[in-house]
Amino acid sequence: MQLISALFSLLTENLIFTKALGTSTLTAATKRNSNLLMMSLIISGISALSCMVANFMYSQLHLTGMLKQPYKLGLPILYTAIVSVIYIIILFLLQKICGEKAEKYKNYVHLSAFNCAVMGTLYLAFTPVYISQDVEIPKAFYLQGELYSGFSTTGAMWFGLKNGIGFLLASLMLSAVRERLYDEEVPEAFRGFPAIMIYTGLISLAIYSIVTM
Amino acid sequence: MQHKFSITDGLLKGNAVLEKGMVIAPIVVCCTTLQNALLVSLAFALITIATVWICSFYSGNMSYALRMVCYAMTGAVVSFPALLICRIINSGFYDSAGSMTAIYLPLLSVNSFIVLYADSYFYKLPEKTMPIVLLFHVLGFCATACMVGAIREILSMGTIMGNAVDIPIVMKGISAPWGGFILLGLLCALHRVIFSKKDDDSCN
Amino acid sequence: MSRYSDCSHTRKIEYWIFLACIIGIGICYHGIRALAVYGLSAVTAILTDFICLFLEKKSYKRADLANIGMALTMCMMFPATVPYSIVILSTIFAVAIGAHVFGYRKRYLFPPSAIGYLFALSCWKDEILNFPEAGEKLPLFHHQAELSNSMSYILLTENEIHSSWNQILMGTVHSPMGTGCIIMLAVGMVVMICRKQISLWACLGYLLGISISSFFMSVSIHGVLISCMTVFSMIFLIADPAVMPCRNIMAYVGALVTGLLSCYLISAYHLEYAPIVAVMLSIPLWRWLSKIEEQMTPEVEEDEEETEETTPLENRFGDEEEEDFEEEENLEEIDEITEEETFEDDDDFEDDDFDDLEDEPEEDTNAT
Repeated sequence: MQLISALFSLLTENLIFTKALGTSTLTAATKRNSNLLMMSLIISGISALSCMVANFMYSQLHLTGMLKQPYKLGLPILYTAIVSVIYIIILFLLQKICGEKAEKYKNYVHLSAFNCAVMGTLYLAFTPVYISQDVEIPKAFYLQGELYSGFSTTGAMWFGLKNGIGFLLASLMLSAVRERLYDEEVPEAFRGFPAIMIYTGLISLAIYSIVTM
Repeated sequence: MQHKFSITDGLLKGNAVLEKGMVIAPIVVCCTTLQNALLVSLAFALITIATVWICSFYSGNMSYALRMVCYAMTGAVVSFPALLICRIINSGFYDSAGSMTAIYLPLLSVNSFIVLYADSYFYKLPEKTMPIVLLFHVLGFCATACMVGAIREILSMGTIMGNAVDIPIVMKGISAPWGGFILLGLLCALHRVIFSKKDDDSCN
Repeated sequence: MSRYSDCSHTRKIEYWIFLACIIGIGICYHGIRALAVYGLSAVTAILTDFICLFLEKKSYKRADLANIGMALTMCMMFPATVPYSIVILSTIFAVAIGAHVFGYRKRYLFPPSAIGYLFALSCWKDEILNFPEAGEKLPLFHHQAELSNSMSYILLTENEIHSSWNQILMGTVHSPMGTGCIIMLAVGMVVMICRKQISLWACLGYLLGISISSFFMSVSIHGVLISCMTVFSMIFLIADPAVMPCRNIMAYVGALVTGLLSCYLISAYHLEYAPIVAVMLSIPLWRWLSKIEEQMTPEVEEDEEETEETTPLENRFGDEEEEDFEEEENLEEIDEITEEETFEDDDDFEDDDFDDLEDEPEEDTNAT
């Protein structure tokens, strides 16, 4: 039952089905099974690392003022800088460890780094529950559906990993039917991308009827 | 049969959202009303046009990874004044828009136009043509966003820009993400039908 | 491969008789309004099908009338007081999006009736989840019935049953039009299983899944079975061969997982429509099982004659006529080769074929 509970947690807070983040990357990831696994792995890794670094910056470097207006407008710079550094480090390590094979994996990293799934995870992880300016930031830190009394490194890492696993789950759900959506029986106007959108919408409809009712 | 390249392709035939499936998230989640769609369109236009134009000056001389980092950082820096302008235009609406302004508008700083499409398409065009092509592509996105926002507002609330429209029944669920996905899928199919038919006619 | 035998004519009648019985009970309990809702949905389904097929440049065939079953199944999950506009819009959504987008009959990705129901639920929750009392005859328009939550909802939230077992089994409680009469559904299910119209293994898998989940979630299994459209969903959504994998083991596994999800949703989220959501979320798994099934099935050589065995799906939808009609369309520009035409006519046929070919000596064609 724990497994089913975890599955529903991944579905009801899924980046793609509830927030439409990473949909373009999803269609690219499901073209082949190898794409799917590699991209999900990389997205999970980058998300988790980014959340941990951002958590460190908020808790140790006291940058929590950036979560309030008008300094929130500077968050894209902070988060993009974090992801950029991680992106460069990953490419460097890939080159050092994999050598000649690195070229094959670099494409996955290029596609996975600056996409909505990763950046969206950062914005979601540190969105205050109460938009009001009166609430203290540590109490407003919303992570994993629970209010934390302070910033948590493991919580941040788990949030990033969870979103990556949610992306993997969504990819698996789409790859199971992808051939059917490109079938000749599907009307030409809907074949491919339109059918993928409608399929994603219907899964999202099912999840919506759990969450909001 | 390949169609002849046209500068205005990005607006209709080569629409980035309907034909290529790019930048879907803000349209699906945020464009639930026409007002929201206008805000998203404004933010997208300001961020994308400025970033792609600025990046065109230093796009040629670096490795791919460094180029991506530069484009993303430029987008992030440009988003600061762009979102400030959006906030100044209608601060009450901007501050009350919730997750849209907290998540989706800042995410436009790393949208697919900037990190993927600019390098693979825009920067390969002639220098004089590129800004116009970019403009039409951005207009294509804005038109799609506004169309989706208007349709969803009418169907889910029975209003347009807050003014009541006389429709017999409203479907509240259309303003949810699933409504955005399905509506976008239907519009993509419609786009395909219209423009493949035009292609067939021009071939004949 | 399927073990079903070919007795298509009687099976189609059984399915419709079962539907008619459920509709009849709804009319008995709720009056003329129930009939109007069913009728309106059926007509809307036909019209929507016709329009969609016209847009796809296909003709409407008699076999397409089978979509009425899907529309009626969807209406069975609605209350009798559902506004007519909701019935029309839900049916259009179910047929157009649920059926036609993914390739139409025999290519359903999701059960269209489940899609139509969830669409109506998401857009008009109050109208869909409030029910009149059974036995109150409703007029066609402007009903004054008092609506309340369903028996399932009260059972889930208060953990109490306010009705007698007789009322629950006969369906004379606040419930959707066609899902309340447990006795009728159970009898019909047995008949449909015996006549191989629905999959026995899917039903068993679903029941096992519910049992396992209810054991771990500490929920009473009989409470789950009498409520939340469980039996209805098992017959019309889960064991429906239109969406289920064909092989018994695959159907069993798919239905088992659906049962686990259903019961979990019932206990954790108190959803009275949990099986429908569970079906929607299980579809990727069912499709994945179907893919494995296709890989396990040996390829049929072209020389082999068509087997006598057909699936219940083909039996129900009568596709033999459709296939003949399509074959005739394909052969419009080619001379029809009937069974009477044998190799004796080859000379003439080959001469016709080779008329346009250059450098083809007549002696060679005559030799072949």
